[in-house]
Amino acid sequence: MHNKLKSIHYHIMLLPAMIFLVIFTIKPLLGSVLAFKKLNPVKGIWGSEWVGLYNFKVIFDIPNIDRILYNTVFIAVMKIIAQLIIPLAFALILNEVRKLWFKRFVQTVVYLPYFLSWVILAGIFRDIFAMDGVINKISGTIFGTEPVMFLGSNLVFPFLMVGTETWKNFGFNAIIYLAALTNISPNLYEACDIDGGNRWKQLLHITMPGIKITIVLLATLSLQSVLNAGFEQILNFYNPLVYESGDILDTYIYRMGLQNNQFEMATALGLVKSAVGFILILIAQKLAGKFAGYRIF
Amino acid sequence: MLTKYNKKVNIPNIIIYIILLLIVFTSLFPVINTIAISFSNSSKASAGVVTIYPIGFNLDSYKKILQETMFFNAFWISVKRVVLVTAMSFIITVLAAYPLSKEKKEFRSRDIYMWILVFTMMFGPGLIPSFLNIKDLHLLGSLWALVLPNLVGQFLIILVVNFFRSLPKELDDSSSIDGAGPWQKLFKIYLPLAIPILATITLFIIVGQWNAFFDGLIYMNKTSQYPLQTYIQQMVITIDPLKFLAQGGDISKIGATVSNRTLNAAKLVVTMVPVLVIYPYLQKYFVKGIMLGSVKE
Amino acid sequence: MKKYFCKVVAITMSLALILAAGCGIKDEPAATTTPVTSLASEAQPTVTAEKADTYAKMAEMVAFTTGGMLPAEPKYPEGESNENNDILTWVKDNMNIDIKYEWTASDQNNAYDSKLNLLIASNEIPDFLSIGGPNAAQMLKKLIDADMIQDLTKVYEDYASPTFKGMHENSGNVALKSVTFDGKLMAIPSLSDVETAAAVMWYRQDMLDKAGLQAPKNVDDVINIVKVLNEKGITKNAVLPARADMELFSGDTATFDWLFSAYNTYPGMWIEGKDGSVVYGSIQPEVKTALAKAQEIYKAGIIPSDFALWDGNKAVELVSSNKIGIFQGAWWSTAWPIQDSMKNDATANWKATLLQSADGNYYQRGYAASKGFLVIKKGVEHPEAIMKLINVYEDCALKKNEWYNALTTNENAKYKNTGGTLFPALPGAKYLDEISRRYNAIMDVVNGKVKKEDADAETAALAANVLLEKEKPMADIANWATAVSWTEGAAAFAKVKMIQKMPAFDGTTDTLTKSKAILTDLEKQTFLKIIMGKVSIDEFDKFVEQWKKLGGETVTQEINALKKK
Repeated sequence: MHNKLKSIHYHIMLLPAMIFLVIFTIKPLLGSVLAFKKLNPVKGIWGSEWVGLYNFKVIFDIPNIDRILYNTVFIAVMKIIAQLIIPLAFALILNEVRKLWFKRFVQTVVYLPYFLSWVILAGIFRDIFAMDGVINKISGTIFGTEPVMFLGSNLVFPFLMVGTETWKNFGFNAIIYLAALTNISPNLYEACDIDGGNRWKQLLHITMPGIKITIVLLATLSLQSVLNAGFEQILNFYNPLVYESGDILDTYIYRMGLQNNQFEMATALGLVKSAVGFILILIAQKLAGKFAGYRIF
Repeated sequence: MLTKYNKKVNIPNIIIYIILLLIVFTSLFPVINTIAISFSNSSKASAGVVTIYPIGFNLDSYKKILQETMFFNAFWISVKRVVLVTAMSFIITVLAAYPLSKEKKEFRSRDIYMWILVFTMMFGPGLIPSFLNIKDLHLLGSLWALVLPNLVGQFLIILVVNFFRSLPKELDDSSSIDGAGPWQKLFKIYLPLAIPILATITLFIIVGQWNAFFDGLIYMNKTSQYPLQTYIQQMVITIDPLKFLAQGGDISKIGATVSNRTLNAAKLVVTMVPVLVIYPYLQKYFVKGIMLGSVKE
Repeated sequence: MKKYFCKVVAITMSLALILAAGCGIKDEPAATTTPVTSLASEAQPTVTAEKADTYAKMAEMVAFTTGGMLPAEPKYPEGESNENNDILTWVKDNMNIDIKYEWTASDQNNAYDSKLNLLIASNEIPDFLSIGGPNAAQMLKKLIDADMIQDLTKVYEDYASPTFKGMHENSGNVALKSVTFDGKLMAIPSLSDVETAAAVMWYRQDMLDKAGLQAPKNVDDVINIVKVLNEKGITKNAVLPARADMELFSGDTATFDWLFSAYNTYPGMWIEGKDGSVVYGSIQPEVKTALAKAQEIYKAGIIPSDFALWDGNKAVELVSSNKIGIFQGAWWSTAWPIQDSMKNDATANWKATLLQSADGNYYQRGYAASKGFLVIKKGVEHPEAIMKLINVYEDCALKKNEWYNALTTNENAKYKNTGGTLFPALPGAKYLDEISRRYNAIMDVVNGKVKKEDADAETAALAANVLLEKEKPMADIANWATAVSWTEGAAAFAKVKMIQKMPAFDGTTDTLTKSKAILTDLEKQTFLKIIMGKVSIDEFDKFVEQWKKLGGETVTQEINALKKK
């Protein structure tokens, strides 16, 4: 009885979120059937004819689709990993700083690049990595190397994409970790200190376990981007010389331009990306349950 | 951490400071570059000679901005949407997170709601269905089209859920004994303890809305309704004379379309000012959780 | 977990369905949903009996909706906007036509095209629309396939003004043919000059003088100039600006057009082959020779070693910073980027010329005469009103309408500094050789052969610019830019007999749409690799084979079949 009464309150609390979800997400989500149709604008999504998996087939019939898929997953996974580790490392380092003003200053500065668009940043990075750019100049003076065309090299390009994006986002991504770190009780550190634990030990035994949950949560949620290798960024950086290693699903489809079935294809691709991400998250949920004993959702 | 360590000047500390300063400089460089360009002479800027200090210092671009009503128009629209979304989404998020943080035994439908949340987080509606949905709701061109679809941030809700879950059960139980209902518990106990995470999600909502540009592009009917980032995206960054011709432009007028790098840079700087101010302001809420040592053991 | 998942899905679906039923997801109505024309029967001049008056005011007020394209800061006078200004008022009062803008989109970043694309797919287009740009042909095809626009054959025949028709006939009706499908004219196309496509070599006369060099006549001269200027220290490590962000060839700034044209090759274009059929320019054997030369140039360091990473802005930095003595631009390059070069160094003396090929001819590429067109939605009544509007606009563009000149181009005109298209973006028709005609007209006035009062408004205004510049050189940089774009830029091709190769086909076919990405990728990658010396020049032959196999052959056949119709 008690439960039932309380439950009503819970339902009420969830109501606003559900209402907006239904109106603005779930209802248009039904329009995803577009992926299985051939759009006739006049007949609309619902009146257009069914074509089954045709739109999906078009995607998989793209020549070099395996290369493109490989690039997409490779870059995306590298980004997921880098963007889990680097912000964490940064947060941990920053956590060691005691001067509050310095800490706040650093925090504010490093989160700024997140707000610059790739259109601007790509121009700047292109200058930095140009044949006559800073990197080549320094490397030439110190190591005596020949200038390397970084942005034209299939070897380097994917890593440049991962590196620059991590650089752009780490300050912002670290915010969650920083917030989680403040949640660890100072008493725990005190206790460890009394027990003779040095900084490193404190890190291992107090800090890390303290934010373990945050890490697992962020890692899981980041799985949804496994097929999103960063369209806007790559579009601003790539060129035909690096299609081999840098061309991803989204950029290829962009180059395909206006197609007769472009919206149907985009919807199909969206479904595929979502499905893959969803499955991965489900797997992660199961694994986290088994090994960390933790329920993410 | 503890003040005891302040007294020692140890090597690790110095290394940490050096690393952080390096990081700060690399993060700052593009920002400083943009600021320098905004204060430079525009021909020098287009000659690519400006690096970290202005060349041909002048305030022309900033003076020009004051006359550009469209820019401020867009700025103001963004401010409005950020305020609306932040206020509404904050409430919705918190209200939804609380019941979801309860165990199954307390709230039987919890799992169902959670999976709806996760599912809709993964599967978003496509472009055409979203557009048609907004159109059917007669929201095209209205500020609400930029607000209402963005009120349910599934990722943020999950963050708060996990936070609530990390709070000790004893808090809940002892207040139940005192006869507190769900609403009282939420507002009097959980929320006050959640300040850091609430500050985090507030920041995320603000930043997300401030940066959003695509919805402005597709849902707004007039360029005068564009929010800030959409407007910024439409600034002339690169000259495309053939495009200009294709739009019926008189080629002799192309001089007027010149990409004004300093003006663009100035607009970017102005765009960054609010985010520059918001984070330090919110940082004071990222204080150590009022985690009562007594309970958290 | 699975149980719950299914439950969730089931509940979600039912929830959604219930709400959907309530909110009524329905088939998009086939008929137009926008309020359109007033219908009262009017006494229209009978079409068959006598020629319709192509400028007549409409008997009753008719209203149309359209979409507009605006720059970020249009700068309309206080209280006015693109929806509320004297021009639209004139149209309303004098023609009984009321234009309403359903929406506007930015002119940058493909915003207009994206919006249009979305609206087409959603069946939400306004009464009439202007479409232009690289995607225009595909959008037109989409509209026709979806049966969303109307047949304009009769409207054009009966209501297009003699002026407008005359312009099109002058050009052999090329533009009209490009928008005619199955014998039906589905759009009203614009017609603009094609000389702007010419690749003009701009060079620093002052630097050449210091080095004792002559103006470049051909490709080898250009190479020599870059070399010698460097050797003599007049420039330091200068290169010929080049880029690869757009096409390698596109009649713009710092592309390879100067080279390809000089070898009478036209990559990227569909052209008339030796046997009269339509062939693709990039696979012609002469292209191999041109590429070999480009390879040579790259090896010699005449073009930047990383040009493949350069974009327009970076390429022109060399010009603006006065680090180089020669580059490829267009006749209007004084507006951009040379203007910045002048601001940074007022002593720079830029001149322009065209290059000759080995046989002494001035070959240049051309481009499609039509840059865009107007379509009218199916079911819209009184399309002839739109045609009349186009007629009026045509006269305005030709500067024949004094009321329009007073508002837009005359001294102290109200909308002189207003950006964007002031008229509801209608197609205009100009001479294909407009630029050289204009040049000759200007010079006639400048040389006193024709009196200023006798010349037409635009010529007179430009002649005034030129004369002012002669009198007070560099007094006003904007004036300098305008004047020199004519005295040097346009002069470059007006003074010689330029042979422009026009595209033989400019639309799209099914296979072309499908294979565009594959073929373009192959071409661009191959060309870049050859030029950069990563593969030998013989790779070109392999490329030709591959191109044909990957769909190029099919496309060629499709195009030729279309042309036969």
